[in-house]
Amino acid sequence: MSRTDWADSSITELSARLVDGDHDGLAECYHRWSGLIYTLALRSLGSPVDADDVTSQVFISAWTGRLRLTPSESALPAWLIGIARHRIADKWAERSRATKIEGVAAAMTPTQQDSQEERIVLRHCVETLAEPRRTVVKLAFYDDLTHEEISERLGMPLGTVKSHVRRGLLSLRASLQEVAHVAH
Amino acid sequence: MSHIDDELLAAAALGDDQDLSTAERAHLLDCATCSAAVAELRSLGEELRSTRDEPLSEPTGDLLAVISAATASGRSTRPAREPQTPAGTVVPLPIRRTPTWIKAGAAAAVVGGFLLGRVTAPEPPPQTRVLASVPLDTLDTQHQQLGQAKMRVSNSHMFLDVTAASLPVKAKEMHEVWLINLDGKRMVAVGLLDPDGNGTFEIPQWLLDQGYRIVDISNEPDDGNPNHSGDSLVRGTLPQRA
Repeated sequence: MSRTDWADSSITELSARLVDGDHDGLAECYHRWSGLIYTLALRSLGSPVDADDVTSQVFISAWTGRLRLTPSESALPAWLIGIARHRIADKWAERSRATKIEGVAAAMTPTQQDSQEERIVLRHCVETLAEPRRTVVKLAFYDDLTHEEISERLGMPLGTVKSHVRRGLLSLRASLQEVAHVAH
Repeated sequence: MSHIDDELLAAAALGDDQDLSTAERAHLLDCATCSAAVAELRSLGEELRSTRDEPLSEPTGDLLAVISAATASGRSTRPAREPQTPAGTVVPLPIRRTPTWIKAGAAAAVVGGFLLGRVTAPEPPPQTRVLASVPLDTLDTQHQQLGQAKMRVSNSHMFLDVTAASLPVKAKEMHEVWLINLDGKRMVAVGLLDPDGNGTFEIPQWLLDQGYRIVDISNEPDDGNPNHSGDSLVRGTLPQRA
């Protein structure tokens, strides 16, 4: 059952629209993933101005390079993240050429950067889970409520709560694997 | 037995072992694949908990406007940069006589044009869109309009066109254009107006998004001091969605 909430047919359709040169498709991509891309850039670069810059560059690059995208159920977000990695790296290269800044992120090892990126992607996946699964997952993992407490709070049968938590976890695993496979 | 169902693996990872049958629990102890999956899901659960402190942020600027402007032409090539011609100056196209042999060739090419149209179609004219136009008024109580500022997008670049021909001109003084932030604390020098009172300046969108929206023209003495003289002649504020 490793369907993820990213991997729905609407992403395939959205990818196809983008490849076809549909501007509204690009705007929809922006609405869905700009928060993710911006947060990735912001955590790495530390500067909202640079993160804004990277974010707009990513979507402009996605547009200009859209013919390289093969529409599929999961390729699009992973592809955008891959572009973001390059733009963030460019920004760092630009900075070190200009001023030799040794910021916190510059000092981070690739492993630290990867795990930070993974956490941000994971958080984005949580935020895009369909309701009521998102609420159940957040109550379980962020508020540390027991399944019984969630069941009581939401007036949801215990079995349903358990199922949402379990499937939520599996769905998040699948989303992360997709990003790792396509973007690396 | 066959491997354990994913949902039950997740149950085991979450500590709900009681939802597994005795046989399933026994399998889990024996099967490297299933126990590895449980371990992986358990560590994912831990990682998931840690994302509590990893909230997503949203871009600060109106980036969609920048992206739309940059991709407006619908072409996949990078747009050419805008030539820096002063605003208000119409550059007449040179009139050339077309040699007769080209005319003949052009007539012949009309036939082939249907086939070659996709390849030989001329570049579309640069797309220019005026986003905002504001009067530049004196700061005194009379609010006399002595100029105009216009934001436009051309070939995916943002430009500020300033025209202020009726500003008082003093010898050895210049008119400099500034963008002042709405916070009243920050400003950036944009450039000098030409002797006719015109200027065109490329402006990054993020500057506007950050609130640098007050267009100010100052009188600057030729004293080598790069800071604002404090002698503002006119001002106008660009709307938020410029």
